[in-house]
Amino acid sequence: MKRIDILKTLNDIFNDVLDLDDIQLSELTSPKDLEEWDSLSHIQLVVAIEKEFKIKFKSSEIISWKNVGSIVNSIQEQI
Amino acid sequence: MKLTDCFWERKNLGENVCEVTVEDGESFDSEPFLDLNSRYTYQVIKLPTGNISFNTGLARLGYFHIETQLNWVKKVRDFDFCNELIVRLEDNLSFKDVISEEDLSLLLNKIDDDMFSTDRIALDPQYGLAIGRIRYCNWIWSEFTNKSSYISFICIEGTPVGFLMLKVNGRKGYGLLGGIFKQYQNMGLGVLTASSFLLYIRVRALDVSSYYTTTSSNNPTNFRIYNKLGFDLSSMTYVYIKHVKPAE
Repeated sequence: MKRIDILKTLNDIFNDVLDLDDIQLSELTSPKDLEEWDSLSHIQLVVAIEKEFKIKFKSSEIISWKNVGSIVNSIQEQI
Repeated sequence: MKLTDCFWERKNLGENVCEVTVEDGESFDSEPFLDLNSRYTYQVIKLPTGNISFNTGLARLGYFHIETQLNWVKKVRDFDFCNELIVRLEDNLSFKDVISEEDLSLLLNKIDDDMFSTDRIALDPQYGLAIGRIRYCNWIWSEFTNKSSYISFICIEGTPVGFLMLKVNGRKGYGLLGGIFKQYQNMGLGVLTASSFLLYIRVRALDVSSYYTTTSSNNPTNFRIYNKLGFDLSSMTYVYIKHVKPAE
């Protein structure tokens, strides 16, 4: 799966979990850029991403993510 | 009304501090408050929400609302340990109790100014973040020294990412303080500040039937977390404060 396709899927997941309509994620998007991306929604995103891609992240991975690009990296390593 | 002389706050804040707790249904009388001004330079008044006569009375006397405390309760047996968020967070989670001076020192060194940035002391321009941190460190030190609370690191894959401080009295557990260390904040671990206490009670097999804790209206994310995890909001408490300039 190409990074651009992963990003597109993540965009849909973020819109759904954060209850927004118009997020345009880039790989540089971080929690600082989205008010709704707080610690609760972060773990909700993790659960939703794992379900969508049928993967499981390591805990150490999750706490090391700095931005959407880090998430894409973790997904690419598993699919 | 109950007046408490918070003598321990002299070490924390460097001034005479009192806390007045107002009971449900009490009517406002300004007289007892006027007497406080000569004895206490920092006054904290806590009253149940909805007592408007007290609100307006306190405002007239120069007190201002700094936060509303949200008082949460959860029966341990009713906590949903199977909640998918809890299950996800529990993965690779462990606890390492703070039992030695070295552990305590490590913990206190990891508590930085921003950790409790929504605390009323940290938010108060008269005090600020650094004093707020020192106050919390003194509290942890005191609980450790008196052996009156369980203090534990919260670890992910063996690495301490935060801590909790839990007091048990009878079959009641009280979440006194908890937090995620700075480098791990905003990465989903904030949910642990609420859930780790229940997980700790379960892992350590503590005989606790009900768990109580308090959060601040100044931390809306915390509200969302407790709500999402099914805690019951049992009551709310207005907190008013007043700084009095010491007599020359």
